[in-house]
Amino acid sequence: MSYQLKCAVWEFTLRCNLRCSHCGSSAGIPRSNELTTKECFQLCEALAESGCEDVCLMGGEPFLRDDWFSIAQCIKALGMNLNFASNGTILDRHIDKISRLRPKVVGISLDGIEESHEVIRGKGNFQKTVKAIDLLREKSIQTTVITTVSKLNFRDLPKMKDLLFKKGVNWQIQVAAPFGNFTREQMLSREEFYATALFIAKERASHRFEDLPLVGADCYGYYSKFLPDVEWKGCAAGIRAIGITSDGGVVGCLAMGNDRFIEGNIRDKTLKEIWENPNSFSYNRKFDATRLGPNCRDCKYGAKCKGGCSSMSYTTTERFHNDPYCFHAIEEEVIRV
Amino acid sequence: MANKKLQEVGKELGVSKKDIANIQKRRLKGKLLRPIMGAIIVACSSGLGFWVGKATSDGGYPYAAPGSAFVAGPKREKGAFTLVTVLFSVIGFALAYWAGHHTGHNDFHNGILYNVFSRRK
Repeated sequence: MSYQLKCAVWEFTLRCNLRCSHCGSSAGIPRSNELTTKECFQLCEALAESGCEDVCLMGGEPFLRDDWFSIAQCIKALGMNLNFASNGTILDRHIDKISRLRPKVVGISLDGIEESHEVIRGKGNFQKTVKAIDLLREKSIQTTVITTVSKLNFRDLPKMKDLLFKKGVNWQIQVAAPFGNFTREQMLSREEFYATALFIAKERASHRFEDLPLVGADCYGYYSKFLPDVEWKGCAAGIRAIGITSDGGVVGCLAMGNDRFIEGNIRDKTLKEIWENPNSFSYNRKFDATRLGPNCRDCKYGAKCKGGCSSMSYTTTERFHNDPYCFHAIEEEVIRV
Repeated sequence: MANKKLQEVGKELGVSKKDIANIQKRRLKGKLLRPIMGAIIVACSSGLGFWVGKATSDGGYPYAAPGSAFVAGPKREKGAFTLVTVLFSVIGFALAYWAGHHTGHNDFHNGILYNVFSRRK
């Protein structure tokens, strides 16, 4: 079976000006051997040749790389969609260049109202992030606010809604999973997780999508009896998506939190060789129902859903296809629907 | 919804019993409306196919205006009449299937946004 790469999430540098308490990358200091500008151009070409449609430059903080603009230009020139994921704190220095590039989406991390955002991301950063969102809107650049929820900030969601309502930005909520800097103790309980899903469903039912374009990330789902239309056909890692580390490692998803899932390095092999290797991404490509973990083994949707989000499953249970943060399972075991 | 802890947390996030009823209503609406709309599209398409097929095979649809193209149209074999009806039904089904996939709301994943950003930040 052949797989078509659609989306690459590229850890452009591990260098970051913030030290966020939930950062899965434990970003701050760049990796010792990050890709050179020339290698980045070569990678862009390899991505375009493979038919990749979307490239998302994230970090660390992507705008801390001196050559970010020329590499972003290269992505555009090769006909791929350009996206950024940034903490927003230094975006004002680069806004004109970003605007010239016309990215498809710029994701900005906002993890609560001022107090909790700054507990997680450090003092003095909230206003800078809000300013970045305003600047992007002024330039009519499609913007997605990304909120990573944990025990530290999930209670802020209603206030964040007031902040983002009719602001003309998308809002993606995702769950902090225990890897990198983030500890298991701060992770949402299953009830808290389900309550945040109810919040999303409530807001979606209460407002026009244009007024509050709110979505849950891939970690929200699956096959609920109660919440509307949550369909999931398995994790995209290695199926249509990859992650690339700043030193050239290729993984199915950057959120696995473990280097053992690096399938190869573009310094040693071509991207095509890694992607087309029949043994790459075997946890997803060689999936069959016998691989389902104990949480999913007896579920009637198991074969279809393939055990939920690989990142949530692996980081919480140390195995794939076993995601305990699953609407269907929570409804069956924890609540009565 | 029987779990007390969930109710408490839900309340903190501003999710009331009324909101839960709305969520259920939205789900039910989605579940009912889509097959109903699909069935209407298939029925209309089949009806149109039947009308066109009849008009072009037996010399004219009874309610066609005198001198209309359908009345004057070339006579077709009975097989062609069936073929046209079936063809329109298939097109109708395909249209309904497509519409069903593109009009349903999905509160948790979005084709444009969901796979662009890693969950790592």
